Amino acid sequence: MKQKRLIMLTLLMSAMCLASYAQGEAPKQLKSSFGVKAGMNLSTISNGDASIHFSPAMKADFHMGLLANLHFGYRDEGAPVGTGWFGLQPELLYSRQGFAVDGEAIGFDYLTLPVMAKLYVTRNINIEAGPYLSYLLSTSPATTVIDDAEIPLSNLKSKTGIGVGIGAEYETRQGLTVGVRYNLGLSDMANNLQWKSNTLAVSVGWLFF
Amino acid sequence: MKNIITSIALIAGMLFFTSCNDKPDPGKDLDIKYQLTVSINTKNVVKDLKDLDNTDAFPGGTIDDGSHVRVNFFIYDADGANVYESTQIVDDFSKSVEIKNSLKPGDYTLVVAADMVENTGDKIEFACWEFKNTDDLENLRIVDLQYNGFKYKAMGVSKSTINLEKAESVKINVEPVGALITFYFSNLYVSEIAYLYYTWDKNSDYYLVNEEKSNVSNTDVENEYEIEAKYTGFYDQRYFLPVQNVTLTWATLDAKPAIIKQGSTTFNAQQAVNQIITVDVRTGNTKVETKSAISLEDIEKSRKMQGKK
Repeated sequence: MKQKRLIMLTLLMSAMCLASYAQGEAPKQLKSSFGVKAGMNLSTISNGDASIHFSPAMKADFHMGLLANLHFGYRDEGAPVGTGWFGLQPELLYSRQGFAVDGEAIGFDYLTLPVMAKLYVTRNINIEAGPYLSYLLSTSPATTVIDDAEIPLSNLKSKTGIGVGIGAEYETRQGLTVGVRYNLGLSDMANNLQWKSNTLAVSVGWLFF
Repeated sequence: MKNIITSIALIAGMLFFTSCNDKPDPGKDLDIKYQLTVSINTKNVVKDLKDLDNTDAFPGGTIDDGSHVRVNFFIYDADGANVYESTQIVDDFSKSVEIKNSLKPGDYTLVVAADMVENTGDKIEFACWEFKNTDDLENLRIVDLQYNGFKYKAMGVSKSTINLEKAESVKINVEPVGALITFYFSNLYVSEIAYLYYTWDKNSDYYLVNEEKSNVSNTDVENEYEIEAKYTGFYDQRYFLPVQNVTLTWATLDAKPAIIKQGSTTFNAQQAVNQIITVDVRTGNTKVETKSAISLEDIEKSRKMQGKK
């Protein structure tokens, strides 16, 4: 239920952005940019599995990918398009996540598709929130043993999941972006493996206008 | 160009939104296996067994004739199908055995059997018991090979169930499945006695593990013994699986041979209840005692007699 609310909230924010885009003459109301980003992930999992007890530690890795930045409207009369309050930023990222346990790094390589609704609190600083879809490309190792449970991680390959992200980003007029985002996984890894992936991501990017 | 990017971005966004449903994809069940660690203690199999001199037959679980302890371990799933089995041979009953195996969550039956064998490494040279139908719990049986193993035929079985939902450690104490029956024929010093004859009428064929009971045959029993009665007393020890109403028949004979005295007595062999059946061949009196050792008086007598192993 909580998960449904989060998604509905994000959809609502996205709809508001799209509505503001749709209300005016499109070419004049929207500044769209294409960009790239990359950065560091600090990830772990939340373990809701009662049958496997352990304390997951953080794992450091990276992410990189492409994005489209849609910045709607303008802030003041006479201000240029792309200075408005709202924006939308779909991304396509390769994101290496996972966790560490007993000195062993457990890796999950994801393809993620976040769609972030942005609220520009200033012309350069925005806060963002939105859902993301994830697709698990691979795991390492293929099988691990945690708390005497033998887990065939490789069988999770191709699993899809959803989550929500919340963060903030700074954009310079030249196109440099620096952001921080917390991604909260909402999907269990499997019916009988109640792990949810959580990631703190710090990114730098560049928007091509 | 910007319109194209915008359109792609919007389409991606719309695709994403339409792919989201109320319930996240939980994925399929993973074949997670949980480790089951089983610590097996076999000491109880021989704990109460006594020799005629009232000492422990296997002091501290040790074995005096070079035999070793065979520990057979089986795991059966909820359908009774064998999913794991192993055999370990250890020096004696004082050594605990630890077995680890990873299993899918579910209900399992654990079966452990411990007996004594003569072996060369992993190769069994001699055993009193044979395991049959090990693939199927319902028909798993431990067959009595009908050897006179005496106290070395002692055997223990444990059957327990476990619902495995996470890694578990369990301890299993293997309990004796049968009992040591001592036949003690006293007062053999009567001069005209040349032979001692005795027999009993029931033997077990096998132990059915799932039903925890022994199967007893009433026919084709060949347990007739003629003993040269040149000793003051005679004893014999046999390991019985549980069996009811066993009749021990005995007779003393002279040199002709003609019967001097004869008699019979009935006893029950019960799990873990070791008994001494004393027959006074001079008076014909018999007594069945459920104790683990004979009396001090008998021990004194036993010093003057010989028995057979």
